[in-house]
Amino acid sequence: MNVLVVDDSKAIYMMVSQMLDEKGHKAIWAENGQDAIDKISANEIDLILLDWNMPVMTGPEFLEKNKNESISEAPIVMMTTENKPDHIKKALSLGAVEYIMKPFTSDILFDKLELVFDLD
Amino acid sequence: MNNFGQFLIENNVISEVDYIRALIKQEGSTPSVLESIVELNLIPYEQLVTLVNKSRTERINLLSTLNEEDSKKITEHRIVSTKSIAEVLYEENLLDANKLKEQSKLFSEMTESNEKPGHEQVKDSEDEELISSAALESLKELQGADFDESQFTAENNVEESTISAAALESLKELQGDDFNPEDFDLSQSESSEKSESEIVKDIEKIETKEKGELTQIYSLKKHKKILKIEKMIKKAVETDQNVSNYLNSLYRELYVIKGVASISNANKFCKLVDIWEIMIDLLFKREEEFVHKWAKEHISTLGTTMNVLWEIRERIDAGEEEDIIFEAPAIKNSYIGCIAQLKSALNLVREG
Repeated sequence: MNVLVVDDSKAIYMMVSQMLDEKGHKAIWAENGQDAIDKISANEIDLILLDWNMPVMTGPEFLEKNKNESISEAPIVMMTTENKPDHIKKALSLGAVEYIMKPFTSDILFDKLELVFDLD
Repeated sequence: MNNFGQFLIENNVISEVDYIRALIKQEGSTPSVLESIVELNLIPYEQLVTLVNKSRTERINLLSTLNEEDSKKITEHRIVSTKSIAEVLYEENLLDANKLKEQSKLFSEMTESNEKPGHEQVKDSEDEELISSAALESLKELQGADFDESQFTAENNVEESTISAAALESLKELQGDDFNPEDFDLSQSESSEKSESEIVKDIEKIETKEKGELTQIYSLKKHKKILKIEKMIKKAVETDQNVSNYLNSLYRELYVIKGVASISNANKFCKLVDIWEIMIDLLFKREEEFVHKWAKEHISTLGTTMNVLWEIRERIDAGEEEDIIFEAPAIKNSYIGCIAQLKSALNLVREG
């Protein structure tokens, strides 16, 4: 599975990339929403892990653009640093299918993916 | 228009979902008949036990076991003790103080402009009638299926006029006329409520556009997904993982089914989910150590809740109305048992 990790922190990308790699998945890095659009056009993406706060184009701005312009059909998991009901609701209304709080362990990431892909 | 909540909805200040949520909270602030009797010290305990037994044995409302005078006192006490819709909207961060003040003023101006100038005598009696019907509406909203309108209809004019006079002030408050935001701590006000209201509207659009029916959105797949989250939380407790990182998934799923339940007028269903939403919201603000402790003791309540919700959903799917569903003792008892468990779970979050 190709997973686009959209986060301005390279450390987060490296952490997630390692987790995905251990399970045989490939991580692709985008530094912000605009960069994500470019990466989506150049790669086949199966899942997007999207940070909330980023320069150039934030996570919610990307979600809104994706909702209006159907940039990618891949499920989107929102990554944030805290649990906030209004963020969860906003992410949901803009089309994100899951929500994960950073930092997270590999177990939590793959539990979230199990929920996204409805795996037993 | 004599209803502040309806006014806010029609002016796109709050959504129907926010209004229902506020009404649920408002309902929760109304003391029960038994609580009111005790608070007013109306009846000696020994006699009260006899009346409670009588109401349970004969399956009649406790209020109807009282004499007319006590019954009026209880009704007035319950109305006066009930929080105003404006107060609840503020407390629940559904509207900030400035917005409430502005809307309250607009509502007052609108209701004043509807009065007929130069007919003071007529105006007073019209107001009384208007407030009486508003009282009935408020009581219906507050008491739901338990509301007995016959107690307040024209057949009993003495009672109606007594309620109108005694509860005039609180009813005005219920309608938003007298709301004074200065009574609250304005330093806590935030400016994010409007965007949250817009978000809820977006979600409503998504849900209604996609399927619109409670039974379709709350599918077996969705039900199993929530139970899967419960299982994951249990595992996280056992393996010392971060529990809060599963509560966000739970919050999301419950928010979706609550949204569609409120659109489908499944009020009791909605109430159960709403308690969870409030509880998770509070847990989000607590330290992980506490969330762990809470989950260890109370996460199995989620399974109980989902069983009750699924039972209600199945019956709604079979074409039954919610009020009829709750006439069945088995479901009524399961629901009450579930509320009791949730109360205990909520108390730990609040007090722990």
